[in-house]
Order: sequence, then structure tokens, then C-alpha cells
Amino acid sequence: MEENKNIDGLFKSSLEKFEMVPSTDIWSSLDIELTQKQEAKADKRKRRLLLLLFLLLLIPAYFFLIPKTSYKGNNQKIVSYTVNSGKLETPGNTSSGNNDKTQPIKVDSIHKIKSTSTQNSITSEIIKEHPTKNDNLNKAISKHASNKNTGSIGNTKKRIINKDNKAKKGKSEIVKSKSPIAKNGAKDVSNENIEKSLTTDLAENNIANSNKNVVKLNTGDSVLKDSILQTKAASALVIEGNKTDGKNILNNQIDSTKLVTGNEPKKDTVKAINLIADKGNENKEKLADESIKLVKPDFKNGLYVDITLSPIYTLNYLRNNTSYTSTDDAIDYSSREKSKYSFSTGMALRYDLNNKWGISIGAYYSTIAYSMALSTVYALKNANDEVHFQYPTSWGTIEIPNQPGQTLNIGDSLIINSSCNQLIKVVNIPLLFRYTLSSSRFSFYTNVGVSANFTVKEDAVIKTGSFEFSYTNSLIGKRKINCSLLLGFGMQYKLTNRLALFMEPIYRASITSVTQDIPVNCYPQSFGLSTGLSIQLR
Amino acid sequence: MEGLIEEKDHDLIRGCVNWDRNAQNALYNRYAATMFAVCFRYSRTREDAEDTFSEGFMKVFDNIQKYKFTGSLEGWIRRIMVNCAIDKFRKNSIIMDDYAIVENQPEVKNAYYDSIHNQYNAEELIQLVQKLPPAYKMVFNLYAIEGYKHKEIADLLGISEGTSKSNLSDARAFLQKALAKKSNNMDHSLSNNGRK
Repeated sequence: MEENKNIDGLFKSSLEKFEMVPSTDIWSSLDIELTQKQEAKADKRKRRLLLLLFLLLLIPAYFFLIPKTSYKGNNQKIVSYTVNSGKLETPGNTSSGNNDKTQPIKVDSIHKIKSTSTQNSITSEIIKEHPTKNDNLNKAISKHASNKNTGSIGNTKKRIINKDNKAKKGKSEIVKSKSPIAKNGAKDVSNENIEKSLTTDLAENNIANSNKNVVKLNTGDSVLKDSILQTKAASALVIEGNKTDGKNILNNQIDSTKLVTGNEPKKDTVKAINLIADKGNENKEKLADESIKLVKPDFKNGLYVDITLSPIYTLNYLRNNTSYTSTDDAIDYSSREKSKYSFSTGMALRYDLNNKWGISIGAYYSTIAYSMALSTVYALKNANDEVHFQYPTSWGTIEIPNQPGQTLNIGDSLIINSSCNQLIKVVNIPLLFRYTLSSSRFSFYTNVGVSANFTVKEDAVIKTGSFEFSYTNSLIGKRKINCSLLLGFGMQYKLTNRLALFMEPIYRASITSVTQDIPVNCYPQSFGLSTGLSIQLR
Repeated sequence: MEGLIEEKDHDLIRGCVNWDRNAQNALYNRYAATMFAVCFRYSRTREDAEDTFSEGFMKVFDNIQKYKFTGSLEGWIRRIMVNCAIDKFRKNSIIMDDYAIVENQPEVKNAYYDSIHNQYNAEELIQLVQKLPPAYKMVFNLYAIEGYKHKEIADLLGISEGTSKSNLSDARAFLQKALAKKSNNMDHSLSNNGRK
């Protein structure tokens, strides 16, 4: 024991503070390495800054560059008029007055409803302001008010207005309740039929618009909204005397109405509006100005950002590299390797060319993981004519560094009884074409495309006994880039107009090998379940 | 004086954190000789030692911002160098069995050991340490010179405590034998010179 202390003490006292001057070349090489690292750090900082800048730009872009198709401001009265005896009146020019027993439908109430925040209050307010004798209509409206399915607007409207007999009956009663107004007003006009037609048509439109609003406010559908706005704008323009523009807008409105209700608006409507124009209106200028502002452009093409996270499982399809070896190595490689679950994440920019076709390009970061077991490694010559022990994997060969001073001969073997975990890190740049199969709140689509895959890093950890050895970027025979085909079938659920969740099983098959000059050619095939968020930029 | 040195260290470290090349060069010059000797003890050849030393200094510069000023800077850098040597040992030990040959060591008498105690300079001793098989060398350096416990050594090298103790014992025996051999040669050479 004493002896042990003595020998330890001898070495400790002599060597603890011992100094040796290293070669002067070391600082020179360190200096070069430090410069390279400094540059790399600066580049990394730049990239981070750019990414941050990009993300910071995205936020205001989302709020400011995307055209808003919704009304602004709570309880803001944009335009108000009533239909009474074929006259289009502003609140300051209401001939019938509030005490009139036969209250006209106040279009103004629609706007109040628009500013209401909750669906229930919207529904109740509409029902309150448009009482009907038929409860079924109320029920139908209430029922459809809570319907969030944007894509079924047209069908919903059909069900409300056309197909639901009870609702239709209720609607008719509302229209009838307006009919006396029309009939009374008819005494004042020369063309009674036209005016009656107008009244009925506008009354129907207003009922339809009320219903549309219920659906629209719950679904945010811009077509419905524009339909209402365009009706008003058309009316205002016609009143203003600009009949051509008014008619054009009206034609759009007719199309919108057809789209939404499935009904063909009456042809007399144009004539009726012309008639109103002839009759004049005190506030027509104001009405025209304000109405024109309400006409919004309809953006059909969309730019989206899709953010994805996907678990993936990769299998290697191996083929013997006949130009390298004549032996059947593919089976050996396959038998000792086992795939592990890994993941892929990234984002893509998608542009919808029309309501069916879209194109997207993205950048994804994927990992591919394997585990393998090998009992013996052999010494082989590499491309530089150096002999090393080589650990073969499907993605390339790991070259084990030689012990200093050790000379190996080709064919030398080393029994290591090892297990190896390999992790390949890849950046995928896919170009995809998307075809939408059905478009509604739930939509289904397919994606087909190609992807360029860049291997950015590979790590291998070989465990043998109690030792563990890590190798990074040491694969020989691995190609830096390969190409693959992509095929996906997805389902998307729209949360709002600009936000959707999606889930897409995706299959990726390599069409070029990830390896070269090793006994096998490797074509990875991966299966993933891509899930994520789709954000509409404009 | 101590306060001044600490202040200097602070400036040096701040410079290194800001990636100032002059500060990095100053830090290197201050500790290069000590640290190279540390690396040399853990290595088989000078080239090996230079590799570990370069790698260690790069780690020092990369991680200098993590130094908390709680211990001595020299101690902190020394730990990095030792860890680099351990990493290198672990990476290369896949074929270390070539060196793990336990020779039958002759018994060395304590009295004889005492007599040779002061006959060697540090360079000769470091050469003896270098000749140890890698596994013995690691354990001996960590235990006898750096002051690690067997439990810590076992954790660092991924071996059992028993193996660590056994390796240390074998390393001591190896060194005792080498010292005795060297001493014999010296005696022999001295007596030959005396005869002449």
C-alpha cells in the first residue's frame, strides 16, 4: 500500500506541473480552423437573422397584405334602407315609419347582425327581427345557423329555401306578409306588375340574404357576402344613373345568387331597379358611394404555407451492385439491418392555380434511423489505397480509424460482436402537384411529385462490449443527393377561411440509389403520416 | 497580485468569448506548454498528443463562454484536455485489445524502489507512462496524477470499478518493472564506466 503511494507520488510530483512546448505549427493550424469557424458562425448568424426576418415579415403580411372580405367595426351601420311599396328608402326617408303595422324588412338589421359575435345570438337576432308564423323556418334557420360546413353552403341554401318544404312555406309567408306593402305601393306606380315583381324579388332576396347571412356569418363565405353587397351596389348605381355598371354588378349578383340558392333570379329585377331609379331617392348619392365601397374583389387563387410534422418508417430496397461485386450481398445487408421510426418536419409554399390544381415547393428535414448487428468486420482497401477495418451499412461503409502504427492487411478480421445505431439526416426539397378531389370544409386531395434529397449528416454509434464509438460523416460510398417520387393522399379540415388542419399518408420511393461503389445499391422507401397546419397567405 | 491576475483572466476570457484572435492567442500561449504535457501523458506518440491538444483547444475556444469563474481557468482547461484524451481513447479502443497484453511483472522490492526514487527526471517518467498499454495509461493518469476516484474513472471510461482497480494495479507493476530495469541499466552503465 505504501509502495503504491510512493510510486503514485513520484509520478504525480514529477508530472503534474510538467510542461512541454508543442510544435509552432499547431497554432497556425488552429488559427486557420478558428477563422473557418468564425466565418461559419457568421453565416449561421446571418441565416438565423434572415429566418427571423422572414418570420417577422410573415406576421404583418398575414394581417395587412391579405385582403379582408369581412366587415369592419362593431355595430357600424354601413348602409341602411328599407323596401316599401317598391321604394328604396334610407332611414331618413322612411315613409312607412316604425309604427307601421306592416313593418317592412329592414336590411339595416342584417348589418347589425353582422357585428354580432356569437352564432347563437346571430340566429336569435335574425329570428327576432324576422318573425315568421311558421316555427319550422326558425328551426331550419337555427339548425343551419350552426352548420359550419362551408362547402355545403349551396346545398344548405337549397335545403333552406328550396327543398325544405316547411321552411319554404315559412318563407312564402314572409313574402306574403310583404305583399300588402307591394300592393298598396302599386297604386303609386304605373307598372304594377314590375313593381310587384321587384318587391317580391327583393323581399325574397332579403329573406335569402338573411339566411345567407346566418350561414355566411358562420362560415365566412365571401360569395354570399358579396352577393348581398353587389345587390346593394347595383341598386345604388342604378339609382345614381350609372345603369351600365349597375347592371354589370347585378349580373354578378345574379350569378352569385344562382351559385348560392340555385334559383334563377327574376328577369324583371333589372327593370324594377330601373324603375326605382326613375322614382328617385333623396339620399341616393350617399347610398351609392357607400354601397360601391362595399363591393369587394373575390380572390380565387390562394397562396398557402403548409407546416408539417410526420412520423416516418423507412425500408431499404437493396440491389446488388454488379459493377462492384458479383456476390449476393443485398440479402446479407437486409438481414442484419432493422428500420426504426423517425420523423420529418418542414414547410411548403403552395399556390392554388384554380380550385382543383395546386403546386407546391418545400423544404423538409427528415431523419432516417436504422439499427444493425454485426459480429466481424474485415480490413479492406479504400479509394486512397489505405487498408482499414470497414463496417458495412446500406447507406455506405463506416471506416474504422486504424490504431497509430497499426498496419492491416486486406482480409484481416476483427471480432467485435457489435450493435450499431445509424441516423441519417436529410433535407428534402419536394416539388408537388396537388389535385383536389372534393372541396368543402372537409376536402380530399392527392399529391404527386418529385423530391431532391440531400444527405446533410450521418451519425453512427457502434457498441461493442462496454465500449461505444461514435462516427460522424464517415460513410464511404454514400451519394450526397438522390431523387425520389412522392405520392400522397390527404384530407383537409378548414378551421377558418385561412387556417386548415390536414393529414396525409405519404409514400416516398427513391428512384436513384443513395450509394455508389459499395456492394449494394440502396433505394430507400418511406411511409409517413404527414400532419400539419395550412395557412392561407392570400 | 492575485486580484490583478484574476482581472487579467477576466479580460482574456471576455476576449475569447468575443472571438478576439489576440485574446485566443494569448490564452493559447499561456497554457499551451502545460496542456501539451497533459495530452502527451495520455498519448502514445507526439502526433497523437498534438491531435488531442488541437482538438482540446478548439473545444476550449468553442465553450469558453461556459466557464463560470468558479474554479481556476487552468483546471477547467485541463479537464477539457483530459476529456478529449478520454474521447480519443474510447474511439480508438475498438482495436485496443492489441495493446491489452498483461505481462508477468516481476516483484519490485520497496527498498529498491526507494533507492531509485530520485534518479529520474520528468521527461523520462513521462516516457514510461507513455509506454503503458492504453487502458492502463488512462487509469493510471486519471487516478495517480489527476486524482479521480475509481468510481469516476469507471464512469468516464465505461468500465467497471473492479477493472479500473485491476488496471491501476497492473499499471503500477508495469512502471515499477520499467523503473527497475532502467535503474539496472544505469547501474550497469555506471559500473562499466567505473571499470574503465
